[in-house]
Amino acid sequence: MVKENEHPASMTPVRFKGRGWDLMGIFASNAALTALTLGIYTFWAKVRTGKYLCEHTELFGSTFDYHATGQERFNGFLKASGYIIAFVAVMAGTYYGLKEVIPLFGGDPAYASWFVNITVVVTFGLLAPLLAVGRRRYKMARTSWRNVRFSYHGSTKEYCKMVFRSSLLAIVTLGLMWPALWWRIRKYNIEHTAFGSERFAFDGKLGDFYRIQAKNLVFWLALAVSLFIHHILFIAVLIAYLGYRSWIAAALHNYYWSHTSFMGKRFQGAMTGFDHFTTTWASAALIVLTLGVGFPFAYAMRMRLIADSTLVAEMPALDTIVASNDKGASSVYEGLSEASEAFDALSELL
Amino acid sequence: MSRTSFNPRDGEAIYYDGRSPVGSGGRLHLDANAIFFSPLDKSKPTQQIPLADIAELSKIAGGFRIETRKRGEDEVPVQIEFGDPVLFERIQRALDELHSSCRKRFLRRLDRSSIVGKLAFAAAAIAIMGFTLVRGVEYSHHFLPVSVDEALGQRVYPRVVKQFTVCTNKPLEDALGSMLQSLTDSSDRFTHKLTIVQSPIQNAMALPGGDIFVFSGLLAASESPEEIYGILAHEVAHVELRHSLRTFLRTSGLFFASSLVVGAGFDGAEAVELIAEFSNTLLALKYSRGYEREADILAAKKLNKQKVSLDGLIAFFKRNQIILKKDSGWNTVLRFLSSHPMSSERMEYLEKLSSGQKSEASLKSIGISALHWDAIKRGCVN
Ligand SMILES: [Zn+2]
Repeated sequence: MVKENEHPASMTPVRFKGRGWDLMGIFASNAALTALTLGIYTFWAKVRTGKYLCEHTELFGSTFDYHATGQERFNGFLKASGYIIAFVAVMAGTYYGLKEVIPLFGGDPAYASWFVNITVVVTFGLLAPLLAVGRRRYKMARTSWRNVRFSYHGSTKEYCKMVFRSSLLAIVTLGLMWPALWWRIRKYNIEHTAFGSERFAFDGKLGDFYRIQAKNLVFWLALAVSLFIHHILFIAVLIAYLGYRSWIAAALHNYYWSHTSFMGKRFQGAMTGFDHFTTTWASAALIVLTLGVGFPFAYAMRMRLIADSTLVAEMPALDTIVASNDKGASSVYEGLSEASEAFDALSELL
Repeated sequence: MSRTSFNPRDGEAIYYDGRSPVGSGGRLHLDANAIFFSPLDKSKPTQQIPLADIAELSKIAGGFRIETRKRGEDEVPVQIEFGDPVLFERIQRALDELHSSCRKRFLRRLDRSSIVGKLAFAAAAIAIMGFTLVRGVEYSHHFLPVSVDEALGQRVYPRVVKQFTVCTNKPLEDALGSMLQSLTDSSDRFTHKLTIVQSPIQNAMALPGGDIFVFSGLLAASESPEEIYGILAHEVAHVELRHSLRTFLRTSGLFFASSLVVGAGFDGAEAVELIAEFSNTLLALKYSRGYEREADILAAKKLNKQKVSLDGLIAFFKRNQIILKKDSGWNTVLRFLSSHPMSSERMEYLEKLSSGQKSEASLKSIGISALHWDAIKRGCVN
């Protein structure tokens, strides 16, 4: 049914057709219902927003869809809360147990808190990649286009190894290789994302990425040097940097998308620094002037910017794509990040 | 076949079976209790979907979408997209009759109300819940034992002491001690401990649970012992009224309430969260003004009981234009803002409170004469 090479020269942009007022209405009912249910509605609220955003993002005349449900997200949160409470209980038990046991062997009971602290740090260190992979997997498994789901096939083990190696490299090179970690994560995520049976591909070179990042580096150096010369010079450089960051962000967007392809059909990033600049500062002004209330409009502006500047060369051969359903994707990782945020706020209070 | 939008008039629809992204074109129509999709390709059979099998009907960009319920573990839901708004409304009405639980009806009405209706509902819900949460959480202090105040104070005390140099001066401690003692009686739930801080700042503050800090600058600047007596009465009142604990509860309630609403359901609304936090802090400051008034009123009662007039307190304020602050200990912004000069409004009601009182304006009864005070008040000044 799909004619190949229909318009080989023309590029089709992704379109965001959502309206600021619609988002405002969604925000209003989200806020009201979340307040009235003392927060429980949050999970339904997030799904509601996600669904609207997908249903109003269009590619080749077909909109995306978001299939998560509030109930599913809520269950994930409850399960995750259970895990966290159990973990805290086990850690507390270990702490008090060790405090009694260590002196019996002639050791310092202070080691108990050492042991517990290290265990907590290591656990949370491992949790970060687990969450990154699990959340993306859930998000992709619940997103569809033409009733065919996306999926994410990253493995936590590989992800951990990648983060660990790149972090080590970054430390050895005094942070110079730090951006390479972001690049690797992005590359890994793109290459492990699939639509139906077909994977996305990424062929960007680290060197090209660094050429863009070098501009950041130049500004950081200029900021550091100007700090020693005069504070007014520092502020001037800072303002210049805040503005120029839009051009860097646009270049990065274009770099990533222009090196992404699906079934041999290339995407293209077409964001201009000026577009990014005007959108960023107009939405910032909007948020400040409306004391935050107008943020759904800023949200719509941002969605439009990203969608309009992401183009696809041509329709891939859809008839060779077979749908797949990732049954292993779980909302518990989303829940873990939400629950740990909630517990964090609670512990800060106490 | 790559189409860019639906034609609302022609009743055309696309059927996505969930196995392939290639849709098939056809026509959709509604019967009494089912919808029928007839493919343009006449060799394919017409699909019948009972209304009860429709999981969702939603508006999408450029049209509408139906999704069927997933019945088996391996069954894939079907999606049909169409562009006819009349058909949409008819299906919607049919589904409304099918699912008419109270909760669903309410959510439906909210969903379909105008933007003005939604905003009004949100404003009302937020106002009611915000008020209930802030007041409700603050009210919970009635159920908390005074040991909570004491525990809070014990946590803040070492941090406060660390910031200052503590002064030990027997005559001053004796005088202030007997002032404090005469201000408290058997009905008081807290025991007060006094700490004199060596600092030119003219200030006094109370920690939850009863610890009271008096700065040597304040003592040295006083022109009569009654001034200090009034200030101590005000601080004792803060403790008695549990203002620190209540501020803490109130701000917790406020922050919880605002965390529910700010950016509700949207990821990446950090800029808005920042604004919210700032306005919360300002709101909390407004509350603290109300507490000042409460403390002034209780202080006036305590002074009246001892037959000491408010004149000393008022005179001191007039001379120094300061505000007595209780240390909330949690928020530096709050502290900065609250140390700004007191308002004329407060002066007015203080004078009103004072006019209704009969008093002798002297502390001779507890053995502190003006002469004695003048001799000892600089005991902690370097
Ligand atoms: Zn006060």
